[in-house]
Amino acid sequence: MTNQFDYDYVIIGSGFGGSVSALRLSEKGYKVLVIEQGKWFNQPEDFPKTNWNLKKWMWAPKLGFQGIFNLTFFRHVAVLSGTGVGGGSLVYANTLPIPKSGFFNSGSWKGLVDWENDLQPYYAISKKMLGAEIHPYMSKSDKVMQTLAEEMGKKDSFEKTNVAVYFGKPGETVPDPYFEGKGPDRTGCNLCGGCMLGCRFNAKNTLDKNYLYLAQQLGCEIKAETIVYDVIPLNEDGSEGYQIKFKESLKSFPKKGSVTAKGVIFAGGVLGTMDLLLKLKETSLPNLSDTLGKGVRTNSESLIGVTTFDKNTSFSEGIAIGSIINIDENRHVEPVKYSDGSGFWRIFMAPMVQGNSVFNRFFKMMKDLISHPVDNFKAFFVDDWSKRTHILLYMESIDSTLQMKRTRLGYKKTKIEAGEAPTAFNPIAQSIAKKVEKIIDGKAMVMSNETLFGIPTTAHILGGACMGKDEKAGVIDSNNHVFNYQNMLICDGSMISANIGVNPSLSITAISERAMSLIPEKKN
Amino acid sequence: MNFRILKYLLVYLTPLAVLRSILAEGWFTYYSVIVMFVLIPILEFFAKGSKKNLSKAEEEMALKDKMYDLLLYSLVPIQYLILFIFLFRVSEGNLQFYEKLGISISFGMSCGILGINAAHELGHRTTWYEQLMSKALLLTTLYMHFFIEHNRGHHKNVSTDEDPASSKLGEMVYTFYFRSIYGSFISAWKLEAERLRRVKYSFWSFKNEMIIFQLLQASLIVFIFYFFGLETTLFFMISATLGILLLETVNYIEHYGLRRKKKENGYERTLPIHSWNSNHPVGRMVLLELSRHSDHHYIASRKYQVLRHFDESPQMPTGYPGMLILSLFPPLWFSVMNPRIEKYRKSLEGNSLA
Repeated sequence: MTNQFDYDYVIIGSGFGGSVSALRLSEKGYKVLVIEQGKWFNQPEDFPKTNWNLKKWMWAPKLGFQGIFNLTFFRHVAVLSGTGVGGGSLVYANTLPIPKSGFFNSGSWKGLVDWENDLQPYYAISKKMLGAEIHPYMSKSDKVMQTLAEEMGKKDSFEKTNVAVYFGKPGETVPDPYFEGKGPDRTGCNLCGGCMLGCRFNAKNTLDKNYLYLAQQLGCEIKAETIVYDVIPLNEDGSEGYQIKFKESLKSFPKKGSVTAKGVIFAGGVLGTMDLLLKLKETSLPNLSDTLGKGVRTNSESLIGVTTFDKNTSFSEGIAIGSIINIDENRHVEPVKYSDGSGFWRIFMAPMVQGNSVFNRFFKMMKDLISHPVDNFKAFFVDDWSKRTHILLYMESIDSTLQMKRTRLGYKKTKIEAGEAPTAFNPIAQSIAKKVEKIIDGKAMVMSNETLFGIPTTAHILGGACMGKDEKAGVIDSNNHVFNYQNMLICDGSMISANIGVNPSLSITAISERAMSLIPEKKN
Repeated sequence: MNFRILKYLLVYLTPLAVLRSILAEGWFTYYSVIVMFVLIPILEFFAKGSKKNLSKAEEEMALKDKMYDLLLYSLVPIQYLILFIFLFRVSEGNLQFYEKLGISISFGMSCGILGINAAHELGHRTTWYEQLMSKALLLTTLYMHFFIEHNRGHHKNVSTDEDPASSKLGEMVYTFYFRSIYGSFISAWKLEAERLRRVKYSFWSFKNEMIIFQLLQASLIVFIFYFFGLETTLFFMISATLGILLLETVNYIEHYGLRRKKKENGYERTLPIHSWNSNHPVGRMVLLELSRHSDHHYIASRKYQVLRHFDESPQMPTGYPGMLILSLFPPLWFSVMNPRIEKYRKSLEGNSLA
């Protein structure tokens, strides 16, 4: 039966979900093709040295930017995401937490499976595969967090994060320490702080160093710089396979092509998968659930940069996120950093204020500029922004969801679905920032899109193809299979069906591992 | 919508190329230099340029169209944005010396082309806000006295030995730099002193713009030193100096070897024949028609979009960027330009005899 298809499975996207699928399906004897719109990043020179190098850092092919970092603005939220072979793992901050039990017992996937117990072994496998390790160092920013926890009266809530970084000895290259010699060489982390620019020192356990690497050894093919624009089922429910049409993503006159496969796995991340599926629901895949695009969540993040006035302090040393304070069940705060010289964000910084309308906030911002001119000047004209700035990433599980829709012009837009829109002015986050201001003698600043337009920024866009017991409740079932179509799965952030409240990469990996474990081995 | 303005969008070529270099790593930090002094000269070497002038009606339309002004004004915030990104980039870590130098040289391009050339166009305007914008631009390249010297000195004395910014036949660009920079600075002080005497203000007062200018420039340097440190200040000085040298090189080529005749009561009136003209297309757009220089000196108040070509004015063999490069090699420059001047003089004499 297989011989009539070019591949058994085509995987669209190479992030956490796509990479897990690629390896596990290859292990089960399937012939797999992974299609990724971004580039390969194999060499240190492929990554930028600082984030001022927009061409190498950002992904905006129309402007000629061919990097790893994608910034997308919607009406209610600005989304930070990753592109390239390895998806979000290239640009993320390595952090791999297991969510609190609330996540497993709420949302549209509630009760389908005993998630908390069922996923436990898959979390363990995922951690092992990603080389998770407790951050062994104590950097300057971790010390600040420790002091902060003490001042908040929650000394025990401070802990080191589990991160996907090979520490070993700094700068020393060793043969594969993770996969009994089957994996690539790794080099000990030198604590440059540049995790979110793409690791230039072979220390970050990005997916191309584990899942994708091993999948390739088993014959999995990876087609980079290629974007899928159509998936056509060969009969009504796709049980006779699919035709996948794609084109080059970086050329002005892209070449087109197509392959056939028995199964398709959508793993393009929320932005990629929603883009494609919302379009295909109107054309080739009309039987997709009507809930497609619904249940889009963020972690209600607040990103605040506190810039110290002390010219001898450097927050750049360390890894992107090395510790966490668990304020309570639903609230977390982490310190984030960029490497020395990466001050691109500084040109968007504005004083941190609260208010209900643009005018109100603008007025308060002006008031802040006038009443604290020296502090604002010192923060804005700091000599090395990334060295002197302690970025706070505050996350909260508030149950509010957005809906993603497709406009007539073909763009995606967001709409508030349930609860309140994510806010850019979280009072708890701001009070924490005020405390940090005192600890490090500095000034808190936020992105001006937050101050002016009230649009919060998220690096954790999730949902849109949620799980449900039937097609009325969700797009996929508890095993990630798409309702009304055969051999079609969704394995990426869009399957996350409840409020996670923490960094989601590990959970996406674990849920994908579970889905793949349920696919039978190939019969000869 | 007037489509003619679209070609002037090429003025954004400079800020884009400069930003591209400032944000780059490695040898790409020298990108803008390659664009300005390799790509454009090669392009212009093969282009003739149009001698076409606007008709009266077109000219009126172009003068009424506010878009030309807005395009010019937009260069002011752009230059400041570039200045700050330059300062941030150089003071932050993770750059090697050659990269910082490349970034500084690229910012120097911006200092010359936006900081002085755009300021020059604005400086000839009459409203207070346009003049303010002109001074704001000149501040970024530490050459504010140009505002006084150029309008009240250079335009009055152009193509005479009294003007430090008009190069003589056989003068090398390198010696011209010293004569022009020093001479212009002194001349600006004298002109301002003279103005103050006329309006009966003391030289030592805040009515003395030269004093204000020096204080502003010193404050900018102190500001940069305080926030970004000595190294960044030095790189900034390199850029500003480069901007100034770009201007002085342009001064050198614009009037090289041309002189007005001395009459009993002063010099003859400045005519199109007293400045070199170039119709080469890219340089014209990038430099806001500065290269149609003959008309500019003939009637200084004409806005850039309506400058004309005159058949009788001496024509440069290639556009400004190419001529700048040529001038840096004096023997080559003399061998190209001196015979042209000789020929041009003869043709003028022939004309007057006939």
